[in-house]
Amino acid sequence: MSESIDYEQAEQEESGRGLRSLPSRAIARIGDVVMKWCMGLGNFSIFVGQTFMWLFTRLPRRETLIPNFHKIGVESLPVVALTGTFIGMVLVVQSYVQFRDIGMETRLGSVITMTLVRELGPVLAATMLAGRVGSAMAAELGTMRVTEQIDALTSMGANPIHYLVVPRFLGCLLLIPVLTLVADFMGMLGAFFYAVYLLDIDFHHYLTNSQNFVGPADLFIGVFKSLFFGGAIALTACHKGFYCDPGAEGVGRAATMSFVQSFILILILDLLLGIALDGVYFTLWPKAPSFF
Amino acid sequence: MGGKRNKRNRRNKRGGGSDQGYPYEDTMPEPSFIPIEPDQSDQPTEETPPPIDEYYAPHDDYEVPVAYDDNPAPYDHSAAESEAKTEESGEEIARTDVPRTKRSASISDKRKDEKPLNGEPLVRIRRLGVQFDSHRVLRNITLDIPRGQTIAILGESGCGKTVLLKTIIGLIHPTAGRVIFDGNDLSKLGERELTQERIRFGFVFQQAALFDSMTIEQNISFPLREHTKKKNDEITSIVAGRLAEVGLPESVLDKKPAQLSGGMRKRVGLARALAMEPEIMLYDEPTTGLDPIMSDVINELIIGTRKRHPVTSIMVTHDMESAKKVADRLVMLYPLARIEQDEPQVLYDGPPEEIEACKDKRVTQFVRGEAGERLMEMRNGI
Repeated sequence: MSESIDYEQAEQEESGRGLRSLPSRAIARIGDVVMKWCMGLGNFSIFVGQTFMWLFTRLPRRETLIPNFHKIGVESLPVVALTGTFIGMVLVVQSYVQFRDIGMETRLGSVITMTLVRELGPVLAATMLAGRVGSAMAAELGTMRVTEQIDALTSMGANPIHYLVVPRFLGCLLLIPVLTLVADFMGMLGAFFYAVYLLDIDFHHYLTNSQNFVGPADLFIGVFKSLFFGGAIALTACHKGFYCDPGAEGVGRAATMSFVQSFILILILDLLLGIALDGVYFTLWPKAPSFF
Repeated sequence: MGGKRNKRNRRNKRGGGSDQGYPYEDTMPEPSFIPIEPDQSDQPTEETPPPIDEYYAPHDDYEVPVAYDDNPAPYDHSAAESEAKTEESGEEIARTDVPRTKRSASISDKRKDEKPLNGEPLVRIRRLGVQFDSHRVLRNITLDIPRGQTIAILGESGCGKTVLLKTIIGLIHPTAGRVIFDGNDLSKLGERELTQERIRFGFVFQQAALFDSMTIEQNISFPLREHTKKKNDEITSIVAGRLAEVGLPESVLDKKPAQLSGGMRKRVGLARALAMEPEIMLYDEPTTGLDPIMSDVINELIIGTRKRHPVTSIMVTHDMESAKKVADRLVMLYPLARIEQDEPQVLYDGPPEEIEACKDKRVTQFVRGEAGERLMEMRNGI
């Protein structure tokens, strides 16, 4: 009884395609990955479509909205404020030396405020939300899937997307602008405190520059971006939880992948929206805002 | 026997007050329908609802008002054992007195005097096939389930019993064939109509699938709040009625599912499934993981449900005693991976009395619980 195993033949049988050469097998593997990615994207698109359909068909029940709003908004507030404060201070620390060398340290006000309001406030508030709320939602929905609670909802005639996903989506969507504003404000406060009282930058010029070079359009762009981030976080987290693999490992992986994918989506959306909104901005106001 | 009873009562007394938390069952009074003296200190202070007790206390002139039948037949509870067999057939034997090995299912003719229900079969399964990616689970299953029947679907682990059950309610879509519920093909129904049909089902999941974030009261009243516009008082009374039916005290209403034991969770799951008075009840392995007494409690509850409401029941189980006790008809499935292309997946479809006489060796081995050839198959890697 010969026990020799033909590895190449086993691998071919395993792949099921009977490909002989290494390049064909490599291409087949790339093809597999792309196919899986396309199917995942399709699955996600259908999920998003169903969420929007249920969003506009029937109002969610009050007892599902309020607890979710509390978890997403109220409980995230301290940690988002803390994040904002430290980011503001770190920005001052790193840019002060550069500005001092060209003698423009009073302009630090406008630079930091502009950066916070346009980019860092929305992105960091969204990242904090993705890590805190997104992972929790994915794990919760994943556990519900694994313990058949979602099947129980369906078998009792309640649509699980309407009952579970829509309140969470609305919560993230409506509360993330508020959290972004809080992050912006605390960032500006922390930066102001550090710049004026610890680095001895002139109080009056710092504030005047901040005021004159940052307009309401910048604030609007930041908050508008954060809406998209919030929606992306909620949909990614709920999707990962809904379709998680069975078992504890599946739930853990759902929570991890929810954060990773939300973050990647936030960065991509940030870039695209930044380009798009800047285009709109410079069309409407061809000259940049200026003090003079 | 008497000694065993005393031990159980002593265990109860050691438990202490009802705010102990987990393990909660130590401090629970026994459900009122098993004739053991309950622990007085743990009795709820409100009076127990009297009519319910009468349904469960077996006595000689026991007549149950069956909801859908004009001539109710007395439920024949005679248990047939080899050693503990008594001469008088009418003498009731408390279920818990009989040791499990000897409590072979009594295959007396259940409900033989009842009128058979006419009309279209409630569930018709036609050439059903279910496949997950490349893994085939069910192939060419054809079944008709008439109204009022209690059918038990048996089989080894992995033979597709739960998949079949979930396909009947529409949680899984078949890849071949169709399921026709009360004249409607489930795959052709829209979302709204499917929801309406699902309200007529009651599904008891294997791990009860209670909603963790809600209390027991919110769990049981969930379908009522979702589908009806009943007032709070009415809902509260319905919930209390269901709790009493499954033998749980009102003190569990404010607890969360994590604070209850497995048996209690299953009973809450049953209460929730019954909340909307469904026409068809589906049970997914109702007695799995429970101790023998609680298994019999669940069996009695299933039988009691059938008596109080005119339901069709489909039970998936691998507990032979449970199946023989409760069901009118047994269907046995076999895993697809181990049968040939042309063999049917349904190995047995008939009354419980005749399953032991089945010619198919696989069926008799399952019924008797013999590993036999299966062990050799597993060693050879099948």
